[in-house]
Amino acid sequence: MIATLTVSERQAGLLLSIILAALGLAMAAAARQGVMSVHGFLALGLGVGLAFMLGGAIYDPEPDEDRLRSYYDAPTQFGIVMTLIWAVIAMAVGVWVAALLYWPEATPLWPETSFGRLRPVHTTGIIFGFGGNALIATSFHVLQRTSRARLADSISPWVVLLGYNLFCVWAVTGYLMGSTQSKEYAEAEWYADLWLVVVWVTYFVLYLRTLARRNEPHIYVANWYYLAFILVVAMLHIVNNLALPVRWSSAESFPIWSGVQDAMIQWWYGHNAVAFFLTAGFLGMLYYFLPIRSGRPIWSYRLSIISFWGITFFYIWVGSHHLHYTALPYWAQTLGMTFSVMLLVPSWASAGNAIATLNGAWHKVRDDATLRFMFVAAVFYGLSTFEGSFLAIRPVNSLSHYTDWTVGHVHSGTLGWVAMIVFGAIYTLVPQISGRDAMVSSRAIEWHFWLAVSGTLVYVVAMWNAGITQGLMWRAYDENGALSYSFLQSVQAMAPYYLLRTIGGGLFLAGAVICAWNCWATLRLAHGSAKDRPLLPQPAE
Amino acid sequence: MTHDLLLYLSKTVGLIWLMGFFLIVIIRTYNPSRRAAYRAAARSILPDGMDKE
Amino acid sequence: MLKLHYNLERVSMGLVAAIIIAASVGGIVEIAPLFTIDETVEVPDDLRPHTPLELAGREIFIREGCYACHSQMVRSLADEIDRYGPYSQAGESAYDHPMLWGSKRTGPDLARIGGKYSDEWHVRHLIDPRSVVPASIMPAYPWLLKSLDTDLLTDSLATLSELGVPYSDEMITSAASDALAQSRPDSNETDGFRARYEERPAIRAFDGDPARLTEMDALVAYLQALGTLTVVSETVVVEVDE
Repeated sequence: MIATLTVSERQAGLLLSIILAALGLAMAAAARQGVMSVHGFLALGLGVGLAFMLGGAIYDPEPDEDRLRSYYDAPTQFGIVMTLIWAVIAMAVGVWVAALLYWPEATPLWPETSFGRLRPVHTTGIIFGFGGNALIATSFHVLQRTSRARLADSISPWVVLLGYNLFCVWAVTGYLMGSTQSKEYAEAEWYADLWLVVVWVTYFVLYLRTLARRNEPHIYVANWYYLAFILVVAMLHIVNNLALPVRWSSAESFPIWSGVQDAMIQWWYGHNAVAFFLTAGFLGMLYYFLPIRSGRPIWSYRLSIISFWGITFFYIWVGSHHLHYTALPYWAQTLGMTFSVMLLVPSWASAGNAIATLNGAWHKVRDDATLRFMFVAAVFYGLSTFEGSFLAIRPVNSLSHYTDWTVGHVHSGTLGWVAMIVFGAIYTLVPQISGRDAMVSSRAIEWHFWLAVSGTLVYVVAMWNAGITQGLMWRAYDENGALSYSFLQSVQAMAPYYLLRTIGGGLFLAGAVICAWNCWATLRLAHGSAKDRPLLPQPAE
Repeated sequence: MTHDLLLYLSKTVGLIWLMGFFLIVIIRTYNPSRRAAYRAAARSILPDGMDKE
Repeated sequence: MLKLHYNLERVSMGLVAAIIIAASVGGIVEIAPLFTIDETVEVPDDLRPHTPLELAGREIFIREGCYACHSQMVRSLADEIDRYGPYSQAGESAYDHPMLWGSKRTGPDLARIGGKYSDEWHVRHLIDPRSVVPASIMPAYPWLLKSLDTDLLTDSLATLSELGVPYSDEMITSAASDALAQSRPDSNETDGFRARYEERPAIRAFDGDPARLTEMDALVAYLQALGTLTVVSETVVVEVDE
């Protein structure tokens, strides 16, 4: 890692890690006890560790001169390793909490292992840890190849990746210690949110500076999606996480929004975390890696532009479909519903565009499991966006809201679409950046593919059944006008589905573990790096 | 800024903004003068050897 | 058409601006009107803020992630009104920073749970759910019997009053003693507590032991207050199509 930096860059890195250590020390000293001090020592430890690594190797031989004439792939490799680590940890927690719903007493009676504290560990670990690292790593790769230019500088990618993972660790360890804001997918406390803003601005500046030095006049559409991902997530994160800390020296804080305004802003953020974190970013991945792996240009480039602006425009409105029949004003619910149904058009434009791109390459889809991952991802993207538009219709929502059907929809999107496209991209990238032409074991990719598909199907179908059963049981009236079922009866009816869901999640986790092993083996045998070269840097107009 | 005025605005401006934005995007995307640029863009990421059709 | 040299696709700053324009309208249109909503949906004048003990209980409710399985929003649907009670009004959660409307009902909705079960039931249920409800899949919370840390209460009330929650200065300064007073009926601070919070908040040994102020006191006080902070009209709104 450090061998890729020049002496001056190492000195700058040393300075930054000392600043990080000082920040950590200040936090620990201010808080003196409690979660914030633990997090202060974490930052201190990271800062000191980095300082030693950099300090020790500061006068090692510098990379040779042609460094600037090759792509900078070390951050991408680090990002992929973190993606795989977070995937295995967060999916294991997911399977554990799923099992807890079937065996509630299968956990030690400690606060840290209670379901309520583990659930956000699963969601933050997957969305931010697994998804976020995958997006940052692949965005560095895609950005450089589509701009035919090296990253603008060699320090900020490390600032972004290390800073981002510190945020994820702060968030996850905070929940275990009971420090959370309870706003879904934004549970991290106030200082972690501020830290993420700093990291995200660094990421945005690095992205724009690299785009500005591109040697390819046109900005390829994948970059639009990545750019929208970075920009809109910043808007969402800042507005939704505005909060007043109780004391500057404690992790406790109170969001400034309350009641119906907080509900609207939370779900404006909540659904757009799904939209721009889990959709736009990964569509950028799809629009780059699918054509590359199938060797065919996108079926209709113009359709991808229409789809881009449709998604960027429509998705923002739909948050209020999380609040049907609640105390949110009726007109806002209707707006959310209308735009959710209209959103089907740009969503299926991208799904169709991706699948049509494979015309003439179906033999590759049959033979190459990596491409099959991406194809199945596009199919599940179509399925879950259709299901989403359907669920957002008010009468349908009156049945599905608060039930496990929502969980089924979430996991048809995350397992079927997001995870599959990430695995497709990882199996394309890892050989390339380790100078090989294939993964160590292609049978392992096949095993992973079938475990992932079967795990997803078992999970989603179990949750459909669970959710619709709940919805129907809650609303059933018997002949003399009384409610047919008590709430507890609907909980008892869930037992078989929660068991099936745990099995589905376990299958998927097994696949992810195989993927982690395969990548570890491939990276270990790496010799050399990616063979493609950027164009000679001449000033982009 | 009374609530009713804001409500009226949000029910009208948003949709006008939508129609206008949609028209701009359609015109820019399907403008014939850009057809070649987009065809080249689609191919730009493929290694030149695999440049079919 | 004038062939702009710097057209949208080529200049990344243009792309950035276009994305912001496209992505901002949806939010503004749906969120801005909600801030002038108090011209139509006023905060009910009989809505009382949480007492310090209830607020501490709410923080524990958040800390343990209870919102992940329990919603606090009765929808305007017939079966929910029959099962839970009057549907939740927007004004009820006006002082809730953050709102806990929730998004999943692995467990029942709690918006109207206040006063439905005895303190004793809540205490035994929280310590070991299956001892009271054999088929329950709820986790156990035995560690709630440890004493309540009231160190942050005063600053918490001060922060909330900055955000518009009506806590008077006396309420803020005596937050810790008020929390103790509310869980100890025969203590001499109860008169001060009544002076500040009037008659509605209950004063009881919520965890069954008046001698100690525990996290259980706070959580049960919070649960018993859910749905009682303002009197909600029983009338069912008739769907008026605008």
